[in-house]
Amino acid sequence: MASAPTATNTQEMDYPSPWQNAWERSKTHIGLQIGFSIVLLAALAAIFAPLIAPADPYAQSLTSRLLPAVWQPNGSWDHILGTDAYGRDVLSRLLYGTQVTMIVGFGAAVVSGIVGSVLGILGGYFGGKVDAVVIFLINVKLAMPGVLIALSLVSIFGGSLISITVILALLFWDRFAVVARTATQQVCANEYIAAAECVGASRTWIIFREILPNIANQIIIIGSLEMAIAILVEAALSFLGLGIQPPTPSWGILVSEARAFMFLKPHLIVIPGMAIFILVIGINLLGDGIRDVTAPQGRN
Amino acid sequence: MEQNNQKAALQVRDLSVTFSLGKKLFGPSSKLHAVNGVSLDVFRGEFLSIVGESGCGKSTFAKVLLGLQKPTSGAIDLNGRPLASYSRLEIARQIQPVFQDPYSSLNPRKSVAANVALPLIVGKGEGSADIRGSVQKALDLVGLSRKHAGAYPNQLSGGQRQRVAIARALITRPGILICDEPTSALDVSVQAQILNLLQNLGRELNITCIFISHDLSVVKHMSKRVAVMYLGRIVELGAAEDVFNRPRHPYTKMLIGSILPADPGKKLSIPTNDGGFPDPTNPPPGCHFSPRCDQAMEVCSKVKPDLLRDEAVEVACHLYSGTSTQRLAS
Repeated sequence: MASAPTATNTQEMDYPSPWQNAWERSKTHIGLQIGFSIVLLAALAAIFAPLIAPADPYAQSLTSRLLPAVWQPNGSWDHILGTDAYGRDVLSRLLYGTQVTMIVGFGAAVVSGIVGSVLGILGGYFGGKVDAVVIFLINVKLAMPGVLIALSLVSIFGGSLISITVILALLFWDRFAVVARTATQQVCANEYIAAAECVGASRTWIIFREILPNIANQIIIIGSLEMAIAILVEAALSFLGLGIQPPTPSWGILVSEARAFMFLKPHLIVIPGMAIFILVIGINLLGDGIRDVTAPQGRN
Repeated sequence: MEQNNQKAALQVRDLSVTFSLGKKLFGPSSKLHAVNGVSLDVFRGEFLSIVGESGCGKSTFAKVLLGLQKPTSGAIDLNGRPLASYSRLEIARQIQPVFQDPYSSLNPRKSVAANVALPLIVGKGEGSADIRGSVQKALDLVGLSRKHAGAYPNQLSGGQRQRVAIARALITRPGILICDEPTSALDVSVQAQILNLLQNLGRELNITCIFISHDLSVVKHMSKRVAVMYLGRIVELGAAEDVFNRPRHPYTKMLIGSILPADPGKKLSIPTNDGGFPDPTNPPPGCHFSPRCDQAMEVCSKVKPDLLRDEAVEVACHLYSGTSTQRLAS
C-alpha cells in the first residue's frame, strides 16, 4: 500500500471548510453587510411592530389630521413622522406595513422559487418530453400579460394577504424555471453526475445531493430579485387599490393614500417610497452577497 | 496464446452503438455508428489500452461498459453473465470509472471524504460505521494524506483531484477500472505520477484496467495489450510490444509514426495522401481507412476486412487476410 507515490504537496496546511471561507469573505464584503443589515432591520421592525409602534396604526383622530413630522415647523415627538389624512400615526403604519411587505415578498419568492425550481430541474435533468412540457409551460407563462392577470385574479379572489402572495408567486415562477433548467443542464454535463450514475445513485439522490447544491446559488440570486419585484408589484397593486385592502397598512397603500397630498405633504409619499426603495436594494445586496461568499471558487 | 487459458473478465461480442442524428423532412435520418461491431475479450488482471484519434468511438465504448450508454446491438458478458442481467449497484461494485477531467469529475460542493465515500454511501446507506475507515484507506492507497479528507475539490491541484477520483473508484474494490483518458487534462509532470499510480495499483490490487487514450507514448509505457480503433472498429489488437515494434495495419503504422520523437532534430514523417478523418455519419465503404491508406487496393474500398490473426496480433486489413489461415472465433 505504501508504494503509491505520495502527493507532491507536502506543506502542512489545513483546508478551511466552506462555512469558514464564507465567514471570512463576508467579513470584508460590504455589500453583504449593508444588505443583511437592511433586511434584518426590516425583519425586526415587522416582528416587533406591536411593541415599538408608538400608536395604534388604525386609530383615527379627526382633530390631529395631517400633523407635520418632527423636523418640520410645529412638529412634535408625539407623531415622529406626522399623521395622515385620517389622523393616524404614520410611523406606526409604516412599521405595521413592514409586516405585510415582508410576508408578501418573502412568501411570493419562496412559493414561486419552489414551483419554478422543481419544474426547471425536472426539465433540465430528464430532458426529452419532460423538458418539452416544461418549456411549453414557460412559454405559456411568458406569453401571458402578468400584471393584467394579477389584477383580474385579485379582483376575483379579493385582496387578502394569502391571495396576494399566491397570485404573485404564480406570476414569478418562470424566471426560476428558466434559470434552474439551464443551470441543471450545465451541472449535468459535469463528470461527477456520470460518476454518481456509475455508482448506482438514484435519480432522487442525483437531483437533491448532486444537482441542487450546485445550482442553489443561482436560485438564491433569482430569489432575491423576485422578492424585490414582488414587493414592488404588491405596492403597485395596493396603489391601484387592487392589492391589500385599506385600512390594512401596506407600503403601497401608504403611497396611494398620500397621493392626494403629494404637493402639500410630500413627506407622506416620500417616506413609504424610500422604505420600499431601501428594502429592495437591501434584498438585492443580500442575495448578491450570499452568492459571492458561498460560491466554491469565491468571487470578488 | 496463453491468455486464452485465462478467464475473460469482460467479453464483448459484436457491440454496436448507433446515434440517430435527428430526422430530416425529406430523406432518411442520418445515423452515426460510434461503435461498429466491436468484439473484444478483456482478461482478468490485464492492462488493456484502447487507442485511436478523437471521434473513433473509444469513449462511447467506455460509456457502454460503464452502463451509461445503452448498446444498439451486441452482447457484453461480465464474468460470464450478461451485463444487462446485473443491477445498477452490482455493476457499480465491479466496474468503476476514472474520468478525463478531474475539474469536473468531483462535486465541488462536497468534501474530498464525501466525494470518495459516494460509492459506499449509495451502496450501503449513510451512517455505516466503516465508511470513515474505508475513505482513509482509499486515500492512503492513492497517496493522499489524512488532512486531505476535509478539503474541498477547489482547494486541490489537478493531480490531487485525479488521485481523489481514483480513490473514489477504488473504494468499493472493483475488479475492473475504466480510465477514460485519465491524464489528458493534467500537466506532463503530474501525468507520470498518475500513470505510475494506476500501474502500481493495478498490479497490487490485481485490477483489470481498461485504459482509453489517444497518447501513444503513454499507452506504450503502460499496457500489456493494445486495441487500435478507427471509426468505430478495432483495426489491430495484440500485445503492446508486437503492435508497437511491428505494426501491421497501415493506420497503426501512421499512428506510431506520429509519436513525437524525443530528439528535437528529427522530423516527423508526414503522411502523403492524408485526406483527414472521414465524416463519421457517412463512412467510406469497405475498409474505413482505405481513403487515407497509401497501400489501398481495389478490394479495400469494397469489402470490409475482418479482424484476423496474423502471427502474434489480430489485424483487420486486406494486406494480411491472404496470409492468415486461422479465423478469430466470433
